[in-house]
Amino acid sequence: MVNLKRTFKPLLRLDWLAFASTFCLLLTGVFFIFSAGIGDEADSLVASQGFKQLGFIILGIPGYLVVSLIDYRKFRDIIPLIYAGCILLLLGVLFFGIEINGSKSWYDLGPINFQPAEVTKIGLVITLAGFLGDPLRNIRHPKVLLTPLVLTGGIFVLILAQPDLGTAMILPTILLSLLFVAGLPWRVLVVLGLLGLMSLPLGWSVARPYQKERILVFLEPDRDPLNAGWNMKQSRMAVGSGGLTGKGFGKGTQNMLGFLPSTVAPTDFIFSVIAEEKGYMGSLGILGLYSLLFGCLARTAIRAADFFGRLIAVGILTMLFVHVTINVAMTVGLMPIVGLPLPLVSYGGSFVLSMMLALGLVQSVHIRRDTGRSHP
Amino acid sequence: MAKATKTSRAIVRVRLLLGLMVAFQAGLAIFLWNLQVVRGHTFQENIRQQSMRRIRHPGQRGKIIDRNGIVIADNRPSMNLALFLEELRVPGPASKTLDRIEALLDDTATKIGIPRTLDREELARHYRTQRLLPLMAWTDLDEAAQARWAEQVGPQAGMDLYTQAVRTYPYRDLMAQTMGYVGRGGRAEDEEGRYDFQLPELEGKAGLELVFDDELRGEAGGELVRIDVAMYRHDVEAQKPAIPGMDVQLTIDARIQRLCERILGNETGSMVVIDPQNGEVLAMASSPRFDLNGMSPFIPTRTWNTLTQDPNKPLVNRPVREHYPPGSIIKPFVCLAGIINGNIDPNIQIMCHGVYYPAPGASPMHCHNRLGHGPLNMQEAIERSCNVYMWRMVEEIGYKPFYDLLRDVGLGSKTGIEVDYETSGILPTDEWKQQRYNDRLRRGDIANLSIGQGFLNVTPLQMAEITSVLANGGTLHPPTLLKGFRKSELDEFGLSEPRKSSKDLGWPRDAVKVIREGMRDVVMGQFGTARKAQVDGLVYAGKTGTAQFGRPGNRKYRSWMIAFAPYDNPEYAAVVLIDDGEGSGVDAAPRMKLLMQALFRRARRG
Repeated sequence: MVNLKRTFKPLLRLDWLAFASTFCLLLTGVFFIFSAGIGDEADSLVASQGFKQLGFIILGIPGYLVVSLIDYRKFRDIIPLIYAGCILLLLGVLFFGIEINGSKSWYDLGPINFQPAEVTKIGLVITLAGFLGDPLRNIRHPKVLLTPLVLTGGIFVLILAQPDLGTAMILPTILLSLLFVAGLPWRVLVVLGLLGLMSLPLGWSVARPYQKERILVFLEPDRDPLNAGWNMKQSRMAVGSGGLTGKGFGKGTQNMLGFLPSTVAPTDFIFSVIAEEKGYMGSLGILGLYSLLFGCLARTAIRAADFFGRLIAVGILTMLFVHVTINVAMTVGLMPIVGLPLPLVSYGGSFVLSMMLALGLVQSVHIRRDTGRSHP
Repeated sequence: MAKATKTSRAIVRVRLLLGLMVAFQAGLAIFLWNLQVVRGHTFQENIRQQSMRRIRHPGQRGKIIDRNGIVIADNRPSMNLALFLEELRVPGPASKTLDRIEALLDDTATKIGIPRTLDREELARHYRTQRLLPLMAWTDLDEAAQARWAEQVGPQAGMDLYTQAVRTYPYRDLMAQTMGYVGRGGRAEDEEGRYDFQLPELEGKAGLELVFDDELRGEAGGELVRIDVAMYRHDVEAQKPAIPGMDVQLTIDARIQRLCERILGNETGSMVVIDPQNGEVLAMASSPRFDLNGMSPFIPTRTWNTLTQDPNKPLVNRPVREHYPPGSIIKPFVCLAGIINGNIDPNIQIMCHGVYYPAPGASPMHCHNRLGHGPLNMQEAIERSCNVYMWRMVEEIGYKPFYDLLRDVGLGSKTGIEVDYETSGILPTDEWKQQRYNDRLRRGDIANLSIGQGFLNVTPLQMAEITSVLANGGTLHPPTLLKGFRKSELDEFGLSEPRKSSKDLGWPRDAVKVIREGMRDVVMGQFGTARKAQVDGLVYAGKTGTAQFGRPGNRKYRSWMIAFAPYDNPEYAAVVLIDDGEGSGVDAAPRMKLLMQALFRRARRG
């Protein structure tokens, strides 16, 4: 009894604001996944995607809490194991994965499909945080810079091989922002950024035809309005037609009439469902909740007891931010369609679970924050 | 110290990072404001356009009814077996849905015992473009097939009996050419633009069906349907019921019409009966005819070819569409012109020796009585149809007086009757001959004109019209077929605008009297040329005419007779024309007799 109390006592130090905004976003997601499914001919409520998503969240809550109870510093000791695990998962999916929409990104685990790239992103954050957070390393030394580049590059190449361009593009951003917080001089950052931009043509050369088409469609929206441009055009119309207050829950015609295909409405295009049905107020609410969560994660990064924890928080924050920004931008037609879901809100079991675990990890950092000192 | 510096620098950089992220979110928020609030209406309109479809449902076509209420053009229900593709939808690719429909068609075909009429291509085309409309799988099922369907298949999702209106003509060929026919209408548009889907509508293609198409058609109803991305009906936004077309009542008396058609029999020719007191056309028959029901709902190619290649031209509405030289039936009008415009005294006798020289040294022209009629006054000249009298008179007065009169009664111009095509005939002038033959009208031409030969051409309807004028003593009533319209069976028939006004030609009574008496003698007198047309107990007036056509001497004649009856207070003015006759006494006069007998037997009875 006493033991139990001691085990759960750290939960009192949770970042409750982060917890609240996380679950607000999760539940909003469930609602609108239900809404997106109204037009479908699902056999029953239980079989619907909204219900499944609720199941994943309920499954994720203990995961979230358990991870936050584990001292994140314990992960530092098994970093090689974590990284090796990531590489193995990604190699394995290339051989044993199932192909969906031309990408071999998924393990078929019976009831759900598992996308290893989602957890390897967290693995990479821990790995990089462990490496860059080591107080004995001088980040300004060129040799020290080489290791994180190679570590990121390995995972990057394997994800690109699936191919999953969208997810792969997130990794360099995470690396860059970790290097930034770890203290990399500005000039090196600028050089790295330029190198990244210069590698874009390389990305074009390895892109699949459909990916090239998406980018061309973005540059010239009327290029192919019935195929590649369809989702983008319809999604933009859905968002735009929402007006200030929206058409009401379950009344988004783009989604209901299927112009926004029911395969993507609850996943990559859930934001346009919300924006159509709840209007600008809805969009603003979602962006507001994310901004709140960003603030919480940044606060954890600032108050973290050590650099390892700080970099974990920054890494997860960056991952979340890039997902949100790219997803919303592509939904409203500001970016080519890259197929990134909206974290916590989009339908998808492995993504919700891994996102909850990642935020649980930040909670672990928060619980063990350095309360002894205050920083200017 | 170093660590503290590093930490504080890291904290600054985290704050910078957060600032950057929040700035990005703010940027998105501003963009979304513009997209959703400022430009929201544009996108709402775009969505509306992309998901709205307009469907058109035509109104039921009005009936065409004779003056006594007999329905001549009607609608009958055709029982069709229709597919409703939306209800047969199978999730997945379209081919699955088509497979299912094909299976259903095959199954039903064996059960009702009628082979399939739709192939997969037609099915796929309808599925692609007309999905929201029923697709007729079998049309016009007979009762046996309906019964088999009801017993063995029965109504089910996606397939049911569907009634469509088909135009039907209960009296088959009654006034066929005047009636015209209907066909499938083209794509309709209205002020709101194109319809996306429309059920086929009957559209008048010829005859009265065409002339009164606007009134008969009614007002189409419609639906505004919101569709989903697969073009299936999602909900109905707005609905407007179709308004049935108006019924049209004709001046035609179907019984007189049928009578005339029977009298014409197998001959090619025309008959027209008009009420001389108001210009209402009671019958307008053209022979040969065709079965109107063979033209509905569409004209089979074979029928069309047969009709168009028939040398007797059954599709031509002869009373208005063909013109002929009138022959001697023009003489009463020439005489009238002589009195009114040429100051001829009708009592003065003119000598007929049976021959006439239009100019000194010109070849002689003969009266049909080569021995000569002897001295004749005008009334006698009409009774015996003397050519020399006319020639002499016209020599006296010139062409202008009788040209003026014929022009005033409307020869050379269309009567304006409600038909889809009417010819004006020819009333020649110097200019006309100049254009046609590069010559002016010569004395021989004018002499010919005065006996209705040569260049003068009239339609049977024009002759009926001007006979009416003689019958009523000088009032020109433009002939009409239209009695009125009604919106529903509860309403009275009425005209929305008044008829074309009648014109009093101001003919002196005594002048008209001479002509009328002459025409009475044609039928009733001892020398009359139409004595064969006499009817017991009826005094009436008429005039026969035989005009040669084709090469001279081939003995081909147009046999005419005009008449009005009874002589006092005429009720009917009638024209008989046999296109290819042997002479008016053989073809025309006996037919006029049959007509008058029937008309007045009927009148006496009822």
